[in-house]
Amino acid sequence: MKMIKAVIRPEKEFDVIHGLEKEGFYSLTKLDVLGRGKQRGVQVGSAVYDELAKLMLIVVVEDKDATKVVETIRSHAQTGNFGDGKIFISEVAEAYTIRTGKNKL
Amino acid sequence: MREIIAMIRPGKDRQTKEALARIGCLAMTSVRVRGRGKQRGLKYSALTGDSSVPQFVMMKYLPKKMLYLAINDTLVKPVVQAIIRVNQTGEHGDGKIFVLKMKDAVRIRTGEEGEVVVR
Repeated sequence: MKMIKAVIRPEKEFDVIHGLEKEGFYSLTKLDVLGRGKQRGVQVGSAVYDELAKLMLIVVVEDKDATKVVETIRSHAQTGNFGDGKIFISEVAEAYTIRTGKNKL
Repeated sequence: MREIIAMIRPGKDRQTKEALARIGCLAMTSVRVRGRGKQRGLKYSALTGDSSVPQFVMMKYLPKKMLYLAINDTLVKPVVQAIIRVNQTGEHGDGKIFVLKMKDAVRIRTGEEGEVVVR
């Protein structure tokens, strides 16, 4: 299994989630985060914003679905400007459903 | 070393922390998150008695607590079992536990690296 953590623009939230729903991925966790990238935030006149509001989506899927999910998030979150965000993928060794106690997604 | 990411019901976080402390797992990070599972959120009936409002209301995201733990390999099984024991109600929405491999850990205060940090 793969854990996909995507840091995206908050205003793209519904586009991305709707895109994932269309592909059949309903399960997700989201959290509001603050962050910045290589550009070290943005500068507007003399005001420097070094922490920008972003939304982090956490999706855990089977290995075979990982590329599809990444591609879906990427295509829906992309505007082409700096600040579109990043997608991180990590390996999940085990996943338990608490209701059943089974080692299964 | 392993990292454990558990999404649990927000009301159970205190009990969970106590249960984890009892098996010697004291350190953790917790975050309030919103999320949903296979059921796509929660569908419940609105008990207004007013026929003009839809009878079923859909709550797309549910508040959850995300616990984030870094532990030794030996603690993985007891921790997972403890979280399941405390949080299992048998109803949908009990949450998930993810176990991930962690390459390295650093204690910022001393600069130590490796297993000793999560002990």
